[in-house]
Amino acid sequence: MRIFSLKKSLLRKSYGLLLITLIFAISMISIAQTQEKVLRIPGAVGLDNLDPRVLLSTSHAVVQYAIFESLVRTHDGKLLPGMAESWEISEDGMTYTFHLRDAKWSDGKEVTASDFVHAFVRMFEVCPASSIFDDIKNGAELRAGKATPEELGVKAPDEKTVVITLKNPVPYFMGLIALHLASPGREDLVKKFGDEYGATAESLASNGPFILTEWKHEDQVVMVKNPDYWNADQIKIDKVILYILPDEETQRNMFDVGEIDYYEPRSEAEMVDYETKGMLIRYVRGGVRDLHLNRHGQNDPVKAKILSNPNFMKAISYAIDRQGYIDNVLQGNGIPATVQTPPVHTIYPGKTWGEVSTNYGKYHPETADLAKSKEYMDKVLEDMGYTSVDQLPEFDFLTSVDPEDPKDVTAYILSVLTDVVGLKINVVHATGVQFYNNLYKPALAYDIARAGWGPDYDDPHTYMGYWTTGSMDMGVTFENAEFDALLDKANKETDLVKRAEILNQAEALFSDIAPCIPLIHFKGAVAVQPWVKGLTTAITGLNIDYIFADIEK
Amino acid sequence: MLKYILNRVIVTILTMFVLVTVTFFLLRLVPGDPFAGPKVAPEIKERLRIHYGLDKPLVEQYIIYIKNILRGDFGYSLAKRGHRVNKVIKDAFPWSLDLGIRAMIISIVFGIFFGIVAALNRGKPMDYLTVILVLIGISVPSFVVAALLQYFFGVYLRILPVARYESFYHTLMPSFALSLGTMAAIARYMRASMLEVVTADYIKTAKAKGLRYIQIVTRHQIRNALFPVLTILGPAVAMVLTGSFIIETIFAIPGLGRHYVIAMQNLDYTLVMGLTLFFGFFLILMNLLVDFIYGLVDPRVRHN
Repeated sequence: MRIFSLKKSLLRKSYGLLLITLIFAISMISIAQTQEKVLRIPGAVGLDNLDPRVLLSTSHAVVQYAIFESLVRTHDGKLLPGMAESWEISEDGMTYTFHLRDAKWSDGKEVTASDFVHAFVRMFEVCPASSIFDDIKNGAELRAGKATPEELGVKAPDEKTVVITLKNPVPYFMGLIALHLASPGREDLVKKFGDEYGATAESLASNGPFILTEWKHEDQVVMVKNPDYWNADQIKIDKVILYILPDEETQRNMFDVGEIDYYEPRSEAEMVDYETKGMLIRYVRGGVRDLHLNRHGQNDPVKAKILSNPNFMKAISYAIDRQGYIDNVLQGNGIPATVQTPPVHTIYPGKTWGEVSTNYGKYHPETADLAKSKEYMDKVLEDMGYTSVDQLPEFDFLTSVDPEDPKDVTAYILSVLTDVVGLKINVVHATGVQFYNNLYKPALAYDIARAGWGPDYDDPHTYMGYWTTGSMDMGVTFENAEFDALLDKANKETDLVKRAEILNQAEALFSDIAPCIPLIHFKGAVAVQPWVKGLTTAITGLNIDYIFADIEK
Repeated sequence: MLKYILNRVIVTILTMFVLVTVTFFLLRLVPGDPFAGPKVAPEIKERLRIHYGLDKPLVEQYIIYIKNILRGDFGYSLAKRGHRVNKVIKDAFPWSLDLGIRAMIISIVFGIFFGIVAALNRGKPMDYLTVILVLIGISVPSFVVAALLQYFFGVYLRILPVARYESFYHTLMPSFALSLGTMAAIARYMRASMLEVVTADYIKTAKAKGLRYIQIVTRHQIRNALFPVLTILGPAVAMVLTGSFIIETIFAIPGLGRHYVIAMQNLDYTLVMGLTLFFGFFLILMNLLVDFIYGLVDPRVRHN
């Protein structure tokens, strides 16, 4: 009995202590916050190297856009000057001349044109995704070791001028130049730190609106406002702290108690919850979720014949109830994809792809049409000399997510493939790099794969370019010369309306016969604390842009 | 005793060598390329293979690896570009160790306490209550406990920080969540062991000598009942101290736990090797320690 009461009083004491400490902590925090404006944001695991030429993921980009600045910057759908204060584009659209402003790195050195030349050379030499920039003259050749760095179409005639020469007059090039991949680099630091360049705060110098001051690996990143940034007047936040929070539920809980300033809800129910509280920003987000068919059928001639048959692709596509799935499972959080490119992308000033393309709903349906699906399947069976679907071989379905994950489309697609279409499916669940090892060339170890694409720039071309014959991306097997020629022609066309027509033709051809079934386009939403003002969103690049945001408490 | 120690050290070294060799070759049997990823150009992949020496014959890579680990160098991680494996472990381990020690103290103190209470009240309500608690502790997965704790204390009551590991109050929920499973196991063992000892001859002798009940329990029953518990403590300590994927994920603690899972998914050969060796060494060390403690507390072991 005595022990019990002793315990109780101890408990009471510790609660008292806890309360005092909490009050103290809260008052300390509020004192600190009147002095400086701190934005606290969630980050994902795998933030390993901030060198913009080494690892690419949105978790890296969220820091890289703040600590680095490219020649130009995109913000709220507009193009802003960056390290370049002005630029000229030659009449043929092939030569871009950028004039640099006076700017300094956080360690005091000048930002020079050679920093950009170095960055582009290094990008083609080491960056996994440099093929995004293959429109630059001799870029792909430099990567393949067939051209020298001096031959690359990025030159510095003097320390204040960067001249970039292209292969094709692509209209989306300014969007590429704004990417964090194209931010300047420091050759001296790369040499000094070698393999460890980019892995610590010490090895990096910043030239962007914020300076990376502290990086506790796997724990937190601290960035402070760069007082020497050319546009520092427009930067209102004093400090950004990124916490690595691997668990989504934890992020939500921290957001709910006000420990972080924004949070990306994962389900429509959550979104509506925040929307009623007036805390939600909805936005259009690029990207597509799709299925890839492997036309080579893993070197099995029977499978290859079936998977190459566009009717087989359509038999599956017409069995999928995109709208029904979005309404019933995603609770409206998605848009049925009937072509690869989401309608929101710009094709030329003033027009979106949704207004120009004639292919929406034409080749793939929004709701299932089982009669049509059967019709197409009968054609396949006829071509193969089969009498029943049961005679089709078993197909390997490759997915990187748990096939039973209720938040993902895989479970639904599998049920369509087996129960509606009647196929025999062997599910291959590969995580991490193993998924890419299976999907990509040379392996192409799949028959049907759950895949997708995130846009690299705001143009429909980004959704088509990786399906060309030479592409090593995403394990694509279209290999259609007519499609290749159309895309090539489109990027050589300087009349933007004509270019749109050519791309429309390419999309029609693709949607009709390519081994690809578009499923869903995305809807983005972010929940924001009421004291955060001016947070913007974007279709590509930095989806949630906090650079110019403000804190008003 | 010296001979015994020497013997154990040699066995340890041999075990470690076998562990290195087997892990090294087994890992390479897993098909796939560690540099694969979205939008990765094949030329860059090839350049990385050469840079990290993966183009050399496997046996040569093995010899290089052995030479390096003899110098204590685990090399660079393949996925966490620019990070040395030594540094990754050095950065992450203290977090897991701190959390683990806290969890271990809670599990041992409460586990043994509940075990004793249950055994002394055998068949009474206290016993059943403990058994039920133990059952819950063993069968409810830690991610459920962790998530419930986080929501209840962090979001609903708002008396503890939701996540991260910055102050004493931050440590409370993760330590408790992590301790639960081990605590239950210890309580179960302790209870069984106490009940087994109670029929032993020396307890009867003690009773015959006329010792008081409390003396019998503390000096004879509990002391002897602790041995079997000590045996499970070795691996339990190694498991708890080297990090928990789930608890560290939910409470955003930058410990070792997440590396085990992510490194394997990434086919990060060097990091997987480094972690395996580290964990293996730690496990062997803990078992060794338990053996020594055995020798210290149990005269029968010492004299053999």
